[in-house]
Amino acid sequence: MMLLKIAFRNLFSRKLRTVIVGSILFSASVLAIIGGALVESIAISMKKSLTESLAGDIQIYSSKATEKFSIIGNQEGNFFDVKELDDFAKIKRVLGEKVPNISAIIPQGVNFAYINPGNILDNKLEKLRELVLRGEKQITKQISEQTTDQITNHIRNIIKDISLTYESSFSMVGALSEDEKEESKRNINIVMKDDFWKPFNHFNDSTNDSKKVLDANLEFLENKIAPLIVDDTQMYFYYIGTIPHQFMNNFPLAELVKGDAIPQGKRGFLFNDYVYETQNKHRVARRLDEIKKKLERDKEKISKSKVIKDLINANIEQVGEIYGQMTQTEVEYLKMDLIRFLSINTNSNTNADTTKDIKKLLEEFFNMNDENFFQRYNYFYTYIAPKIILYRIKIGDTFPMKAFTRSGYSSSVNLKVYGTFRFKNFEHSPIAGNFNIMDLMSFRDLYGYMSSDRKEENKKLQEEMDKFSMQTDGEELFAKKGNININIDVKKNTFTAEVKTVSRKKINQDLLNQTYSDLEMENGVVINAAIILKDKSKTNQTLQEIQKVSADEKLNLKVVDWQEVTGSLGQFVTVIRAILYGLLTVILTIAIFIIMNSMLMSALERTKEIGTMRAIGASKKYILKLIMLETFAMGSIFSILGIGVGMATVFYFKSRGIPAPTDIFLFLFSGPRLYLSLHPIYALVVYFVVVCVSLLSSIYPAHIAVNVSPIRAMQRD
Amino acid sequence: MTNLISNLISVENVCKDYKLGAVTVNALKEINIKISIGEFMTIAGPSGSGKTTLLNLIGCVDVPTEGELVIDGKGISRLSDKELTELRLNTIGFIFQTFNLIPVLNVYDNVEFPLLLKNDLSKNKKERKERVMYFLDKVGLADHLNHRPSELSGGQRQRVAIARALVSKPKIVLADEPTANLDSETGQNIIDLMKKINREDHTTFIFSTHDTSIIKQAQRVVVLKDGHISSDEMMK
Repeated sequence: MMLLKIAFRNLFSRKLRTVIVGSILFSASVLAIIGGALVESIAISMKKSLTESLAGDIQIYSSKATEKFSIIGNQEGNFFDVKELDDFAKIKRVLGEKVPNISAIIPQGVNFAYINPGNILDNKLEKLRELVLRGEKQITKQISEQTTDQITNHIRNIIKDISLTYESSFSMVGALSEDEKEESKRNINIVMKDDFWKPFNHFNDSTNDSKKVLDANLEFLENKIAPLIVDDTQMYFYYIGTIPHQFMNNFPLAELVKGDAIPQGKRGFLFNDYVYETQNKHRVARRLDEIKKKLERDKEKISKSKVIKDLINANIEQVGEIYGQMTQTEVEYLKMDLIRFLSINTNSNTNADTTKDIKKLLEEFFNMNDENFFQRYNYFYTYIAPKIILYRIKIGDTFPMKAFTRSGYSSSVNLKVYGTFRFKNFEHSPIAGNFNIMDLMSFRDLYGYMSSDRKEENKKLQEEMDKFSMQTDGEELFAKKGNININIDVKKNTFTAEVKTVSRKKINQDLLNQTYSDLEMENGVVINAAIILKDKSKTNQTLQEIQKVSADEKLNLKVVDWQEVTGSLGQFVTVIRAILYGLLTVILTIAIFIIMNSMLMSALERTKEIGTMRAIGASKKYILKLIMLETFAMGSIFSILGIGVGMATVFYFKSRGIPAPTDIFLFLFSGPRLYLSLHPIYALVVYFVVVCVSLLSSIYPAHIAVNVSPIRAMQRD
Repeated sequence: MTNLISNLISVENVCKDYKLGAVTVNALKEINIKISIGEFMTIAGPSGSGKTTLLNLIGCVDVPTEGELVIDGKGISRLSDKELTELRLNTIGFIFQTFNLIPVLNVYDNVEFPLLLKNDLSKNKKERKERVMYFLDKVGLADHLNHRPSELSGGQRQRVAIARALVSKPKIVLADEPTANLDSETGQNIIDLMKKINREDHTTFIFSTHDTSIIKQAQRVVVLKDGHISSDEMMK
């Protein structure tokens, strides 16, 4: 009791020292608690983000893999040479039987795709070609001609626009060479002439002659003119080949957003909603969405944010992508409406000036400010969006998906988009938002492994190609009679491509209608598989069990936990944890020296007092206890205070959550807010460490104090 | 007076050397004194004559370079630090020139402090309280229990120190210049108090001083000069 009294009173009588040392111990404790809670909560959130969306608790892949596998790819966005699991059905059966803790095994494979849905000219030309084909099928002349005229006019308008803008657009993305410039100029001149368009007026004369010329002209437009539009139509993204219904059912964070799920057993594609709403969306609309998010969620102001102003300016520059996608009638209608809208909603210095063209009007419309943004945003989506290609690939479309096979060749399959999905809570995160879902059958095709039906298809295709090439000589001669001089090579390629598309389309349609059982899907090659456990606390134990089964049954599996296959993301927690602990180590090391120094000072100041105690009968042990108790008391008080403040903060954010500052954090936080939590044991550990550090740092001062001679009591200074 | 039993302290051929840098100072040379129970003795002499050194040796806070001290029947050269500490705790009380109270403790706690170091009393609060109050009453500070040393006058502080020195009922009380930091009237009061306790409890008092008016009041005066005993007289 007396010791405690002396210890406490000493602390109190040396206030400055106590405050300095105390505040270090206090800060270290607060940091340890809050930092620890942050790191651990992020670790839990990230684990949830990763295991419940993609990775599962355990991943398996081939033991023949020459590289370490990562489900999210490496930094360059490449995937690894990890070989394949040849007989997934067997693996699934064996593991399912022998490892009771497995709840589900979901086959996967991640690959990178690029698709080019084509620009507006491609789009219109495709429609025109469809009408031309329909014309052959004797659809009433009137309807088809009417639409054809409209489209032809639209296309000619687009070409007019190209002729004015292509040179400046190309100078932005990389200049054309002199030769290319010459050629482009020549080509544009050809299509600007009315002669070029004559065949389109008479296409359903249905003579072979006019049909061939028409085809040739369409190809010319597709190959020579459409590429002159500088656009961002190419899309790149990752997709996961899997059994879609198993994936959606077993990963709790995956949920359908728009459209339908891929029907069980069908081939198909689910866009990630993030990709669908960003990459895939008309870029003017996408920018408006982004501005809206910044204004609403981040409470920014157009007038104050350079980023938003840049977005607005980009929209003003690209109004051509709005009216270019509209027919003449639509443009006229929008013009009238915009004049009315703008004169009502601006402070009347624009007197309904009907002479303004659509470009000027749209530029004025997109020059938005804080007052009119939301009004114009709504106007855009109500009146303008329905008339443009808002999504390059719409839900319900069937589109050709291209990817590189492992051997480096480009491959392609047609896929129907059934809908979009997202990973709950962090749907806006670019990291999680990049993965789309594809059925395993199509995945195998794209990956370069041929299923039997695909082999059949290739055989048929080859036969048709052979048939066609026998006719080509005649076609070439025929084309020379056309009234426009078209390079024969182009035409030849075109015809080959045409036949290929037609036959592929038909066969693909058959594939798309086919239904596969789960077993059929599982029966074959997969790259990797996610294993979801019943009892997640036994991950390590189950991992070892799987390894054992794999070795016993010669499954040749490499078995790793989720953290290992999520690459830099999985290690992120390890990194921030290391940073936190590093920081704490630094602080505590500094604390050790400061405490040591200050306790030493206080021991030296007190040699007379200590000497007196020794003289009147206090043992060395007593002095040791006294010094240690003093630091123990100090360490205890300030670490408990710090832990208290830290826990209070953690508790405050436990229900409230910390809002994610940027989209990246959505993933780390597994949602828009991070709800802090902390295991009480952690607080005990912090207390223990801080107290130990203070005791440790007073060993030397205590040693000095213990060896103070009782003679010091007699000395007179 | 050379009764062996009554020899409480026996200093035999004691030398004490100090090293001051390269120079060795012979602070005490061949000292022989025997001190009996109940003596009221002063060690006098000019500064540097070795008074404090001798008190340090008798107080067991220092050990001789040569010779032997026997305190209450124990030869101190054979004792460990722990045993010396025990000896100081149980047999010797100290009064210092600079009072040396523990600044963070109040009067009561300061006096109680040595009792808490004793195994037999550290758990007996009642007994401790009786003792503390008895001695505080004796030094006339029973109504200052809760004062901190800084709130007391020099004389009051020295009385607290005396109470602290006496509370463990030591056989010997050593006082190093107990009045040097006090005015003469207060100093006299302290000496009177010491005399009274010596008379009532037969506690042996050994104190150093160079104040002649105090020297006169001792029963026995040992005068040190350059580390030698130059005289050793019994007064009456």
